[in-house]
Amino acid sequence: MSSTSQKHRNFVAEPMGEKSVTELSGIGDTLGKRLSDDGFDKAYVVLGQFLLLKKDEDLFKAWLKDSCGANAKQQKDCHTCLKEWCDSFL
Amino acid sequence: MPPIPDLELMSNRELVELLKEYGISSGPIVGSTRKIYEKKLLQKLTGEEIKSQYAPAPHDDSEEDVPPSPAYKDLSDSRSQPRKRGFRSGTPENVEPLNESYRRSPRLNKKPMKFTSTPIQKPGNTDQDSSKNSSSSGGIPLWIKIVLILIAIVIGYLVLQNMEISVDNNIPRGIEAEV
Repeated sequence: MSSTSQKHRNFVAEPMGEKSVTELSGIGDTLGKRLSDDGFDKAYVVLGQFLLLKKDEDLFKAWLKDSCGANAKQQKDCHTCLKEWCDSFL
Repeated sequence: MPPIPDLELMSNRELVELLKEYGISSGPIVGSTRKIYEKKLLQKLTGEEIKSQYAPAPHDDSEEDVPPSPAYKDLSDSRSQPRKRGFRSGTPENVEPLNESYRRSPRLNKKPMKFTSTPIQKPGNTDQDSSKNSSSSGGIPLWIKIVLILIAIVIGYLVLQNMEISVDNNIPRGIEAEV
């Protein structure tokens, strides 16, 4: 069994389309609500932020921590999820 | 030590220049990225850690069990105050037992969470999509694997039983034939 979660595998398996931000690995209901309140209600909006930060891991993690209070594991999961999605589809 | 410039007053261009000076490669400075770059510059200039305005999210926030990180020092009181108070008052002593209990519980929680995670985590998709995803992605659910293994063990046991009986039956026939 790989070390990634089912949520991660589901997300990176296909184009994200209109998936909600809570479908990102590492982002659950609480973090998702905080992000939605800031306007990041869809996964593609968070993707936009990731791309604006030039896919920089540290900056993206810092932004996640600042905007919704994600802890280190959640930051890592979300970053890995988006990075792999980009490697496949971008 | 040079005086710390007021980053909020600087224009986007000036911020980009300053980031270059400090060797921080930067993307565009727009509304959503500006704050992060300001914080990064502050971190470089003052050596402080970037602090989150939020208290850390509870452990159930992602599907995996995540031990709660130590309470952050919050910058502003503008949001989610009740939760902040709870975490602020949480001393390291309070946090550590929680960490331990979460570490103990992952094994217990993982199986039930896997049962419930698929319906919960996809509010936008239909049930058909989620079932298609689980079957087409190649990840066979764990419980199906366990059931298949049990069935295989049961079949193997029955086969072995039948083999022994057939051996016993053969011997008397052989003796009878010779006689």
